[in-house]
Amino acid sequence: MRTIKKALFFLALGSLSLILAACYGPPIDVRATWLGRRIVRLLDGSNRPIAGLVVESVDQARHLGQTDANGEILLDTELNMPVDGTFLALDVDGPANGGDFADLSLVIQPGDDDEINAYPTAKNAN
Amino acid sequence: MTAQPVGRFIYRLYRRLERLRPELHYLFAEITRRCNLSCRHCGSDCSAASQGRELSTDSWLKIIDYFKARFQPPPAVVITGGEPLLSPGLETIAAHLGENGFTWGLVSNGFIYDPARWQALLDRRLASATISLDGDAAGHNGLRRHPKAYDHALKTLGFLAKAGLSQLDVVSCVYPGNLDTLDNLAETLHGLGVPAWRLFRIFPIGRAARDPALLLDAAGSWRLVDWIRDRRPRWLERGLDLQLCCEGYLPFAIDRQVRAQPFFCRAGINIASILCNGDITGCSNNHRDFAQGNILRDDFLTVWRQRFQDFRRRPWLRGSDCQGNARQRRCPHWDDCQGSSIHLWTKSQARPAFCYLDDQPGRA
Repeated sequence: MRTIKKALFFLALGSLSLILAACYGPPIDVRATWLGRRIVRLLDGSNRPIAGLVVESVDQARHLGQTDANGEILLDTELNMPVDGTFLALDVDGPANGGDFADLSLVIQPGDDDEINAYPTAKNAN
Repeated sequence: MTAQPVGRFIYRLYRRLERLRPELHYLFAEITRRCNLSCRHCGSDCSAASQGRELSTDSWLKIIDYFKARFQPPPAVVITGGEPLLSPGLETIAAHLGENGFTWGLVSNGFIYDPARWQALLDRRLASATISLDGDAAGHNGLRRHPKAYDHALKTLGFLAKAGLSQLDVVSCVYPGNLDTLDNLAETLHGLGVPAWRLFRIFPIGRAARDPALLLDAAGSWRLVDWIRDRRPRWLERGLDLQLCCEGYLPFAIDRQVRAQPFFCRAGINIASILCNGDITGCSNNHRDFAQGNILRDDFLTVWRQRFQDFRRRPWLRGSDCQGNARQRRCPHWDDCQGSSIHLWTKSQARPAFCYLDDQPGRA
């Protein structure tokens, strides 16, 4: 039944986006659901935070920002993207910010913790 | 056949299915009736002092747990008031919503300009906010009866527009005193970075019912519709989605020019409310005649499934024509209008408080 309703809605209006804003209530996309919010923390081998790493979503082909002084970056569905999938951490500043690190591919599963520690490998490490 | 009649016909089928198989998408949670303003037009007669017993914060947390357990997916929750920021339990309720995966939003008059508090709500996954702004400083402050109301609302809007909230909009109550200032308000909102704007007529409930100077007559209401038809395309291009509010049936072809989604009163079909005294109803501004139960004594799911028939089956609205006379003819719009918006009705009246078509038949 839900599928039929969606199909009719699409045929009538050319859109699948059902945004309700009843009376004085705010508009909400009632078909959207929160997928969560995660903090990814990037640390070196001594558990020290790595600032300045660029993080990208591989699945979404999107640049998401850089880790802060705590080595953290927030992945948030407010950015209209899932917070699981494959992400890439890139060291773009070379030896600055604690050393030169190899690219790290990070796969986050739906059931993973809300805070995730990950450990890029230093390029000069044996 | 052209596209418009086909679209109207399919949309009519869609609405019929929604009424036959109601699904709760959107739940108003009126967490308080206390308010820091005393607006001339307030439909709830809100004031600084609460006028009765209100559900406790613990009660709201239990209600949230209930909806998470009983509704899959859970409805989007809209916190409303009164002024919700006056509730000491707001952050606790917000955190519980966010932690339990609800999509939730907030309605505010924007008078409390407190970035730290708003940020705390954003951190609790506030998805959507609606702020009231009713014109320029004179128009807004006059309606809100406070000399700083406009400044505060503007600051709050500026903060939220920059905060990256996924859905932010402004609602404006249009009345004869601000109908000619809408172009200026559009510029102001665009300048603030507000992406969406809804325009309401003030409808005659609460204090507004006792202040006829606030009510647009039929000609004024059509001036508003015509203004939106004219301005909406160009403002959409500039990034401001201005539209007519959900109130009041309009013919499909006009509707498509003034609203993102055509008229469909979803109260009791996709929308329910729990008021601060526990009453269960359709939209929070529906007349108290329409209360279907009370959360303190009734099981919501049972109420949702077994009651709400006045909202879903509306032949009772056809007992008279929209002028209140015994029905001599069948209104040609009935199949689409279905009595228009429930909040325009009480059980005892014979016609809606307003009808775009019946109040100015020449525009039908």
